[in-house]
Amino acid sequence: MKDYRGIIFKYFKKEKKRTMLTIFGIILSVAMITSVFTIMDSMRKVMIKEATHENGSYYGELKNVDSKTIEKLTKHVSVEKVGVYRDLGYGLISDIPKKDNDFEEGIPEHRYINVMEETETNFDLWKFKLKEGRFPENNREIILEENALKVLGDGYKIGSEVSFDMVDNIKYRNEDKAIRQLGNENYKLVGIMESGIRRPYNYLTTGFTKLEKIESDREYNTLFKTDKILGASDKIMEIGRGLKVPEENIDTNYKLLRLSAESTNKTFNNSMVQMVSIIVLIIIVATIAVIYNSFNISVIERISEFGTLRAIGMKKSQLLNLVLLEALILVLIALPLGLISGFLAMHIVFTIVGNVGSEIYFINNLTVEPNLQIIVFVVILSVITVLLSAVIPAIKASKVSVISAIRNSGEIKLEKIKKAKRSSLFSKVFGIEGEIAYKNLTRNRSRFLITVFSMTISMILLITFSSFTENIYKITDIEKQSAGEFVIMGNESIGNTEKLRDEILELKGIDKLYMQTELDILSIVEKDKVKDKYLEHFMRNIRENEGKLEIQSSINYIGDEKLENLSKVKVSDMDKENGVIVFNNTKILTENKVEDKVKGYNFKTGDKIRIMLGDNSFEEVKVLGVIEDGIEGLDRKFNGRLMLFTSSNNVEKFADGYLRQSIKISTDENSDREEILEKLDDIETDYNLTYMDMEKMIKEENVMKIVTNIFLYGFISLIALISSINIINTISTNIIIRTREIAILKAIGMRSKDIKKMIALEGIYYSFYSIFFGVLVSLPLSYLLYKSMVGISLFSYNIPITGILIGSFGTFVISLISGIYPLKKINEKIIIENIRN
Amino acid sequence: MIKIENLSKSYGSGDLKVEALKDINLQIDKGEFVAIVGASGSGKSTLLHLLGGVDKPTSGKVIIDNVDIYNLSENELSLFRRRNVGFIFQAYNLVPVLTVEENIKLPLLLDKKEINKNYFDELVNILRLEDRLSHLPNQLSGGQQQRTSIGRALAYNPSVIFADEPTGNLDSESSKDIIELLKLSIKKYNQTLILVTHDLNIASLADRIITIGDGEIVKDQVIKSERL
Repeated sequence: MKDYRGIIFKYFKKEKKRTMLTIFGIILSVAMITSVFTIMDSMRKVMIKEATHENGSYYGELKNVDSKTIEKLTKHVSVEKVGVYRDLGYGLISDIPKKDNDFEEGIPEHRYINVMEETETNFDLWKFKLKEGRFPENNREIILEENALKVLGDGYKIGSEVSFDMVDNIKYRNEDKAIRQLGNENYKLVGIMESGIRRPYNYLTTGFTKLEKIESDREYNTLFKTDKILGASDKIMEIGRGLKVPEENIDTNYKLLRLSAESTNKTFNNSMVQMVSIIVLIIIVATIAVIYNSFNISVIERISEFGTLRAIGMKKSQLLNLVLLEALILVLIALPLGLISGFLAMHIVFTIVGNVGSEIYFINNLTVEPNLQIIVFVVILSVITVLLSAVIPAIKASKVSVISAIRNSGEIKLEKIKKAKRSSLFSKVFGIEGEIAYKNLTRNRSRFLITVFSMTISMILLITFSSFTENIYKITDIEKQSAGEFVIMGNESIGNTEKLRDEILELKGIDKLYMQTELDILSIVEKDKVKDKYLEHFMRNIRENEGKLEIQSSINYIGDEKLENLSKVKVSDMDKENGVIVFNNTKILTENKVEDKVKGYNFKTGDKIRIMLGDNSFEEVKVLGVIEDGIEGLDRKFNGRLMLFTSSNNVEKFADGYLRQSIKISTDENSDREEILEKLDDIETDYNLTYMDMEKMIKEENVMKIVTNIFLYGFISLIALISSINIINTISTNIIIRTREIAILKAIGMRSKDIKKMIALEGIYYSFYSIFFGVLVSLPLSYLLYKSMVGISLFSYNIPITGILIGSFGTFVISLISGIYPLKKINEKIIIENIRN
Repeated sequence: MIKIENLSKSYGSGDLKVEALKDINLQIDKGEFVAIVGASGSGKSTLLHLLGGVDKPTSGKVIIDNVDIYNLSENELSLFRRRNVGFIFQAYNLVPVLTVEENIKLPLLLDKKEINKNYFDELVNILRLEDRLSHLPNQLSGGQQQRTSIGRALAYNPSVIFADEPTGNLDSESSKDIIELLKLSIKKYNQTLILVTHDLNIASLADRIITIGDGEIVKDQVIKSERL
């Protein structure tokens, strides 16, 4: 030992087990902090990757520039890659059949393929995703997006000749625009790429050919990358201005640049940052609890040793530094192991998660890339945390009074035992062992508090997070029951939609089909039509105006025949009298739960309702019938939205082009998914409608749920592990410190089983306190979490019983197990050996 | 009556083997006050611990009131110590979280028994602890702590009291006081007292002095054959 500080290593050697346990605790927290930052970092990188995947890898774009500017741009010192492209116009493919003008605003008369010529660099800068074939090698070859092939019709494959008449612009219906013919073009199809944005009727698709020569008399667009991505936005503007390009023609790949340039915490929204901060804070608190505890105990144990050191001339500051140095050495040992296991754990988790969610781009592309930034951050955070936890014990050590430390060989006198009240309850129920256990518990307030605190933290974490995940389950459940397997939506005429409905019903295995045509209106009614007690709950959808109530409502069409059957009112009467059927039931969201089927309205047959339509014109409708419930497949409307039903003719009369259509389909086992999907794809080409594959969405949602669970439960178990280490550390040291005391109890006649009972009771008391405080804190916490989620979906709050039970059980078991090993050690020795020590 | 037959205790093995006690044979009668003396490391404490059942002999027997104590199971031995043996240690060794009263009553409490009120009052009176009953050990002086531990040793009215250097940490005044108390007690309750000490003044107060040297009995003197 060359330096007095070498004493630290002698101590580590002597207290091998505790030192290892402490190091293990630090490793765990370092690993967890590393994991959290790795997740953030990886998510950001995937977002960048996704942005590149969607929008291309270029940084800047200059539009309408000539060949000289292109040359200058290429030679610019800050520019790395330049690609050039030009819009060649629109190839006419086929006509879009005219069906019903009212519902086809913004729809062109024809389907077009927009053809561009691109230099080879652009194939990469745009990040084209080739599905088949190769990129064009000359200006007579073309690649088309998948949807373009669909509208071209059958018989086209790689190698086919494609020919169409080119025009300079798209012509929309009812639009007066001169369209210039550009002549016929002929290309050889050499490749097929993934489709980008889907438009109704697939009216606009794209194709690319190669730009072979840049002509001096033409204008082009250019894509380019600068040498550095940081600060690229400013650089691009500077380059553009320098080349005298008007500002409106300078553009950036905004999403990519924003994600790359900004610091991680700006990438994510506030709530995400908040959540991560809370998680990191919890890890730090748990770590501090472990390390503080471990150091506190080791300092108390060595009080007389420290007194001796002081007596032989060690300065206060030297002693303080000695303890802090001890902490620093421990964290330095733990850091590399913690970093490695953190990265490794995330790599394993990402691999597992990637297998689970291989269809979801975001999940499948998560990778671990250890970088200096994370490492530096974790190192700083861990060192600060550990030193922070060791500071109080270190001060305590440095304040040891020389004489009292030497005089008191043990820690018994030093810890200032407090007199506990005699608890007759404990001694009656559990005997003298119970009473001694109770008194041992209360003898040292700070040790009691830190033990209960660390145990409480694990309880809180477990309960709160398990209730959080339970809530996530409920959200997906609710959304699941309200959705069919496929939902078709859009603006279409009733006639077309009904034709479509009949086509779908001809398919195999259609179990149920709900068609709903919806028109948003405002109903103006007398106050007495809404039941008073619900008025305040409906406030989101009802407004008072000039003594009347204006209610957000919808007029729905569910099929003439169906409506007649339900209401027993003839459709012809509805047509004649502007008649509607009213649904008096509605749904409300009260303080913390959803009330279904609330009789919120008072409409009776014969009532008149003034309605305001989308174009601000008014109509008066007459209530011809009232139904209470029994309409399956309707969208869920909350907080008192009024639902009216009427005939197809009436709806179309009121609609004036703003009809929202939806068809929900559920299938049975006889259905052929492929056949249905094919049909739905066709629908997108033939109608102004799009569809959603709910089964796929639910599947993806489930995958997200599993992935979230892997992260959440992984996190919970690690925190639980850290807290368990803390519990084990505290309880076993509590016993080891009292080795002599326990030996005396044995000498005066306590049996091993009495001692075991006493120690077990101590553990149980600790557990009771922790469970009590844990539940006390976590119930309001889980309720707050619930409240913040209610905005997303609606379900009632439940006390997280499972979390409480698992947490309580775990706490009991761990505190009982913690006593086994030290007691065994005490029992292995002969009584007098323990007393002599 | 206490009978010791061929009692040996050794630590380690081979070259490192240390024989703390070598083949001791001894008989102590009921009511005797025996002092065991000897130099440091002579084996006197080991002998006492073996007699009291808190150590384990390498070979030999200890028979107290016709019970071979090392033939008992661990549980039985605990109960035996609880009911028949009183221990007094040099470092007092009280339970720090319990008050004086609770420390004294502890052996009985372990049996869920209430101490006889008169006996307890008498004991406390003799030990002069009346006004210290609700104090914790760390609020007492050394003499008071040791008196408390005597109280604990006597609580069950055991037949044998083992005292391991009971005055080792005390000044001469308190030491004398403690020995007087012990003598009074064994006379009053007809108990056997076996006391280890290196203080010859204290030893001289005993009925019989056994001197141990190198793990063997080197001298066994009876000072007073008749008790006074």
